Amino acid sequence: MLFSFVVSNIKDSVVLMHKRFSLFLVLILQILYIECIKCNAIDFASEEKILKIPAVDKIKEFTIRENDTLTYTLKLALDEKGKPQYFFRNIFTPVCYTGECKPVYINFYWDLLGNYMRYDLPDGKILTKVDHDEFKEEDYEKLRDILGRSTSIFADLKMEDLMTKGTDSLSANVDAKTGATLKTIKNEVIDGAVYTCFTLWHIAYGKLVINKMREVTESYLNDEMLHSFLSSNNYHYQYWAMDRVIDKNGALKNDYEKDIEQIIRGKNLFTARTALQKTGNDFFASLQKQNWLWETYKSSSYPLQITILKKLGSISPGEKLSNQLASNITESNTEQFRLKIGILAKQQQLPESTQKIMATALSGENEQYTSEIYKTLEYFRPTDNDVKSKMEQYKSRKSN
Amino acid sequence: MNLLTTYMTNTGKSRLKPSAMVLALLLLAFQLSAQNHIFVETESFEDKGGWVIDQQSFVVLNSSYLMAHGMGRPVKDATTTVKFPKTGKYHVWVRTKDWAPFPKGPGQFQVSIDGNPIKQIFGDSGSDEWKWYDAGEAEIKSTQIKLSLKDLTGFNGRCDAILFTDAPKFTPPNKLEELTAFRRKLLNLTDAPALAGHYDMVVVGGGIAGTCAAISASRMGLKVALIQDRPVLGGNNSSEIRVHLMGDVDKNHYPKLGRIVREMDNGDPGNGNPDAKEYGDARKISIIKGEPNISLFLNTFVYKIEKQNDIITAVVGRNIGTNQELRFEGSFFSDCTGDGTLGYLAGAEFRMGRESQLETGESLAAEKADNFTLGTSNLWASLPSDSATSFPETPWALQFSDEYYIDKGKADWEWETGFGNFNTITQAEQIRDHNLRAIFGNWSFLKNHKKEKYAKQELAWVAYIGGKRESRRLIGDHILNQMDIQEGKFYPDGSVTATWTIDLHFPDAKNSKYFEGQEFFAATKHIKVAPYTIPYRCLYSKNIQNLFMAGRNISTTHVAFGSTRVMRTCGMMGEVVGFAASVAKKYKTTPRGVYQDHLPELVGILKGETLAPQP
Repeated sequence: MLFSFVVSNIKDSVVLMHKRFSLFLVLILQILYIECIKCNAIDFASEEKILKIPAVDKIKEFTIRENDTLTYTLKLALDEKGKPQYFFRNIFTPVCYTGECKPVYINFYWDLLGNYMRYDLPDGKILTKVDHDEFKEEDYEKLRDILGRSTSIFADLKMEDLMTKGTDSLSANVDAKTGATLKTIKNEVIDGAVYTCFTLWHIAYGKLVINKMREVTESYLNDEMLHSFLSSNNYHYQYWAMDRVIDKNGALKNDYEKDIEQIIRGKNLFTARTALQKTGNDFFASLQKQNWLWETYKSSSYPLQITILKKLGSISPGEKLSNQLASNITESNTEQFRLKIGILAKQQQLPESTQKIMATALSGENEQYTSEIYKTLEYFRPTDNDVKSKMEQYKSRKSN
Repeated sequence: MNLLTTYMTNTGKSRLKPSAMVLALLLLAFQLSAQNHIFVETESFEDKGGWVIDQQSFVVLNSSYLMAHGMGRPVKDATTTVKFPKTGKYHVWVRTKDWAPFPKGPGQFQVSIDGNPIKQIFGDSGSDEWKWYDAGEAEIKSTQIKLSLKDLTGFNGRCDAILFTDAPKFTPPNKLEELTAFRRKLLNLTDAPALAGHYDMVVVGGGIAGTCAAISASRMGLKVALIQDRPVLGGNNSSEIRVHLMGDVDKNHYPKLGRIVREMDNGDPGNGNPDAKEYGDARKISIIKGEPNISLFLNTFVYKIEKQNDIITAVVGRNIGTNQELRFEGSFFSDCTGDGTLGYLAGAEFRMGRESQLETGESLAAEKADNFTLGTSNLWASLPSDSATSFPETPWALQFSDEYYIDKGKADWEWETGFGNFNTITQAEQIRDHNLRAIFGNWSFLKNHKKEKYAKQELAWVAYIGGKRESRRLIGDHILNQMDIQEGKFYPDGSVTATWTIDLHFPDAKNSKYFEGQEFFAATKHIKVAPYTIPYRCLYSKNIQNLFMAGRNISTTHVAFGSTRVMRTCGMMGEVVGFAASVAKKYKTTPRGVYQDHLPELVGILKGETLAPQP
């Protein structure tokens, strides 16, 4: 494992190493890498995404016809069982400056939903700028950042908007065309390689090829894939799979409960929130599930707690959950209190045990809270003497 | 000693009557009901340690307060001496809030008397309402004690005031009106504050516009008071906010304009540069100090005006530290507050928010009028450190994940809150606090979850003063609009030449997706314009006769404001106001009188014309 980790990091930096190290060293590393592919899954770690690229056993090819004159091959990597892993392209594209065209060789990798992940260069290939200068290390890094951004000034621009014709210089009024400042634009391009950036970004985010990738993935759709998507670290996969296991009424397909629960308790607040919001009220109807949700609440971040309370507002809590809502009600902040008391007040009948807990909270210091609690209790016309006496005490304290 | 920091009153409730018997009884009653209130404003502490004065919410609190802005590291104690009329038991009340009750905020602090901390911890009550907290009884053993505020977290705990009272059942008021009266009484503030002087021109607001207005007027020979509510000049361009100056000064129709702005310009360090010196605070103050006709009043918040009919006669300002008040009489006043505070107090017509397309005929106007404004930025920056450093988890802040976070080591203009979901004047504190929750939440995520990139990166500076873009626009005799700008109309009173795009920010779409209603990151679309001139009639109030204005609060529509609001342009407005005030003084007329009767002379000054041959 250690070996594969080291190699993977080295592989990640291979692009940059070409200029730094002797060809010999690179060759050795390439051999090691190829050997490793055969025996092991390799983790490619980048700052932005952890991309696990398992061993590839098969490659399936698709021909994409962009227009009458442009067709290319999209490749799908499959594992030994024939399960799709990721897409990639071995790209060759001409980049032309001032009448002179140069070929660019580059490999792009996408996840199964067409989200661009990373690039690398075929052996011995480098990128150059308009003046034939080789890319420096920071240029390769900048290219990684530029291609990593799904929103870019390139999205709304035509080549002729961006550059003065026949050059690789930014056009004088590019800022007027984009509505971005020149400073922003300069951050989004590599000086002397504007055309390269533009061309490559459009390849990475080309709608046609992305749609094709999604179409292909859809054709492999099965339960196994859905489970693996839901439990992956790729939130795109999780959202995509959630759309397929939860219908528009919030009904969850059988056998996916655990996956959804895992997402709700996962590290990613945003997928957790979506999972909670998408899932219908029936999911939380059982006492066991309510208990589970309350346990989740206790260990959740504040924003997720609010989502959970909002969710509880549309279901009917059992006695245990009612008691739990009531028992720490005065420790809540204003928003939590408002939501909790709202849930309790909405019930047809409030369990006596809950009423008792609320009556105890009447001795709290926060007048705003106690007066709301009193109002809620009053609405349910308690019959328990202890509750009634605590309400009396509260009332007399107030009148003093 | 220490008259400025503590305030005492002794209030007898009883009335003495001439009967001896009754007198005896009443004397007893007087003794029993005598109340000693010792009121301590924290902003007046002798030694503020690492705490800072915040006056940004003066209009809603009628006071400044102290805040422990330590970027996650507890700041040094603030201390002061408090005198008591007698020793004994006193009830202690502490006025504070929990600024980030999600569900409990991080701004914890303690209060110590002679080094002995009161057990109770303040600032994490879960309530974001400013109120008095009962801190129990304290035995005051000497008539002079040392009172201190001990910050426990470095995360913006705040304290407005501390009250010691020997009245057993007394609860200090929380309702604003009652509290203000109580505060004024205990601060011995009267309706007749000391006169700071009579000035030809009183400029309120020491941002770029106000500073340039003051210099311009003074160089035309006017006696000027420049009043600024912070310890530094420059406003958004000061080291407290660190926004760079934008708008060109080299495309003026009248090349004379822009000279003072150039003097104030300290070069372009960009937005949020970690080096405070880049913004030239000291240089700005020294330029003003070099003007013999300007009296500079820093740290003074103008909260009250006096007027006769529609003419302002004086303004009253309170020192944000000492709480002493001063009154400034003037012939002319210039509202360079940004918020249009002066105009608002005087009853000047104003607008806030967006006009509708129907109302203005502008293609970029909103379909329906609303309260939308551009937001406020609290910029920040980090710097590399030699070794890895830590930053605490911030559960009370905005929460991020790998799916969404801002991968930046410093802020630029996009860090912005308050797009109509907050009122940029009355909720300035909430806006700043929301910005802090975004900054600290994101930074905590980077430090704890993106260590490979941020472990050796340390927060160097986070602004606690918000850089506000938009609030009120005071209405003048002309309201500049999009057509004026895009058609490049040149009115006879065209003065300042503006060049900035129509730059109307809105919440960034991705930020909205993840933080709907809680956006803190902006996007914009620059609508390019050809250089155009701003009519002089946008620089004085329509209905307050002696009120000029310069800066973002001039008379424009929301759309036009998108272009006029940048600071070099605002500074040139100040220059014009100074020139116009000199003409108004010369002919004993109003700002409007200058337009109606003396425009050629004003234009002559803008052109830098010399006098025709004299007899």
